[in-house]
Amino acid sequence: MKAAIITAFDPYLFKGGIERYVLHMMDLLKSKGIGVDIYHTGLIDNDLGFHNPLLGKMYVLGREFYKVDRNYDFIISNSFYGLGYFPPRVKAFNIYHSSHVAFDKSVEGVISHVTSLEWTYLCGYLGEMASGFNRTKIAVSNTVKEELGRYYGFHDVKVVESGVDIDLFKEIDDKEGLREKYSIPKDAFVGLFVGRWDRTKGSDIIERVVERTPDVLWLLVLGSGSGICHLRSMKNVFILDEVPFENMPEIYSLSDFVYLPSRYEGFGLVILEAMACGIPVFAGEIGIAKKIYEHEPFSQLRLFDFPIHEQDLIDQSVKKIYSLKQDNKWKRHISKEGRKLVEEEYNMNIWRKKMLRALDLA
Amino acid sequence: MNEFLPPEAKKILILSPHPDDESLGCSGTILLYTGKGIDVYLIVISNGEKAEVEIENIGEIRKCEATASAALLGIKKTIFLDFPDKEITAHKEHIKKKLSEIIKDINPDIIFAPFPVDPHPDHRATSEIALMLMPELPGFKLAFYEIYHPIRFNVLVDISSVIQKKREAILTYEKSLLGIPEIFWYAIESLNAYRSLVYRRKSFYEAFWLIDTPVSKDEVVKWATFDYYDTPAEIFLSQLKVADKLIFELQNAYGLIETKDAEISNLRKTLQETERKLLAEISNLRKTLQETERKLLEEVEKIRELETSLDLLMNSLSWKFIKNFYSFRDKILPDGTGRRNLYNKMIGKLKKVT
Repeated sequence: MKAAIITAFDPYLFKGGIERYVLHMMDLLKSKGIGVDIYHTGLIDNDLGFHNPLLGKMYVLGREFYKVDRNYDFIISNSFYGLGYFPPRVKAFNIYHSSHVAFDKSVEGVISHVTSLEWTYLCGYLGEMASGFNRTKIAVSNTVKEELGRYYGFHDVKVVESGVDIDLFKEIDDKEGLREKYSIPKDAFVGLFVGRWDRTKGSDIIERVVERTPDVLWLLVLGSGSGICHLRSMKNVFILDEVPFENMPEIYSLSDFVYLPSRYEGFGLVILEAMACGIPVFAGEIGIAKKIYEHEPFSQLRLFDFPIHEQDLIDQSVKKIYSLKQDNKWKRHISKEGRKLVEEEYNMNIWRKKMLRALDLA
Repeated sequence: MNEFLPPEAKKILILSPHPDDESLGCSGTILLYTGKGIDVYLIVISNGEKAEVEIENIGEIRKCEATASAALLGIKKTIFLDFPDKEITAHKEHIKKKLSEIIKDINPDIIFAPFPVDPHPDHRATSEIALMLMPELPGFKLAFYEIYHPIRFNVLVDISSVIQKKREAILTYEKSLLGIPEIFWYAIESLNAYRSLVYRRKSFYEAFWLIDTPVSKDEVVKWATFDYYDTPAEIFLSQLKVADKLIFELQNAYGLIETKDAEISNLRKTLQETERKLLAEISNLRKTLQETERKLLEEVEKIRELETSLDLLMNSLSWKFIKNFYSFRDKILPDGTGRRNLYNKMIGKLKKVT
């Protein structure tokens, strides 16, 4: 059997969440003896004169792929990246990592009008809707599934929640050594943020929480495409740019908690990766947190959702952070339960089994 | 376009939804193949037992007619699949499976099937099955023939040399063609003659759409309509382009608005600054005016006081004395007199003293 994966960027060059997902997918398919070819916009020169060249390249990528699609038994595309392969002629699957319409609604007022229009109409109603036509739709979380139903009328969506490599993402029992390696004071209470530094990820909220928590050492691990971080000069802030994901278990293990006031996540893999490393994560009702934080003992980690007044969110965050700082017993309990949850429900083997079923390969 | 010969092949498979379709649609070409010794196989999918005739066992009769016609055409083997008439769509998967086995066995170079755009649902379904099989069993070309609807073709086969034999094949279907096979022959002969129109060469032609790679339904429709119809991919592209353009224009418009906003903001600031300065100046002027007014009023008050004092003075005895004194002075001290001179001296001294 042979499969093709259509995605936006070369997964060997870019290290974003979707690119990692693609690599996992490749491993999975290869383990079943299926040959895999990757098609990405890096292979395309022509953008058809689109004002948004990436969009044009995505369309051309799909049309080019149309010429060879018969060579494959099935096709997997990500998000709206396979929009040019329309309508599909070969068995096709589309993995929805998010819904841009929902994303746009979650960050209203935070992004520009033009970006908002682009996300809702180009990425969402045109790209993501077309990408669902005649393809088996797979969402990475129930949250995304609900969004696909609400905004695109897709009611036949399968859910395959993402998984974590629990052999890689586990607590490294040498906090002191790790802190020394990264020049973090041994006795500091370390709060960690991982992600792109922009307001959609709640950078503005973090700035205000950092100001209110002078005795917390904030470690910000900033992803690619980050904006200017005004906290660089602050005494209680330590910034690392674009840490390779292989090193992330070290980062999690040297931290005391993760703070993720993101306004939208389709899944929020950081939450599970941190939990796998035994680190509690404060997050709002985003992605997988929406499901996990419904249950004890994790509900204590849930932050107010954004529609409420932001000041309340900041007050609440500060309060929760100090509660955690003062209650080691609770921290240990929640860390242990977090690791257990990931091992039992979100480890990579479970994802592999579920994904094979979703792809009719089980 | 070749020299109006049948496409080259070593083995041919004809898919006929009902007994008679192969004869109406492509029996001339079949005859040309068999005439060259090429193996032609015929698969009849249904027996056409629901034909609009009141004849008992019409299905069996039609099978017999097909067998006779096939013999006349020189067909190597005829296979009846016996699926129910007018239900090919409903049995699509099952038929596809059966055909797949036969095709693997025969391994034809070209499969002939009705054109996908045809009024008869069984014809369309047969066509669709053939299209579905193409990617699954690569190695054959598909040639679509015309029956009830003239098609857009890319292959014309000159069947003039076998036209009479084609007539015989069609007329074999006495019962299948409702007891009026001559009428059917008349129509098909006319259709075959009508194809002379394109190349202005008087002859009889069978028209085919020959494809060597799988096509989607959209591509079929696009072909059938001379590209009049945009495929969904093209419609989608045009929508994407419209959205891309609109967003670009909006981006420019927002950019312009932002520039104008900045200009307005600057103008507002200048205006506010000017207004502030102006108000300050007005305020100063007002203060100066008030001060001047106050001073003026004070002056007026002083004048009034002086006037009052003057009135008092003018009404005083001394003023009256002085006033009267000057009335009588010149009389009692006329100019040029010694008294007057003395008087002037005294006054002069008094003025110096004061």
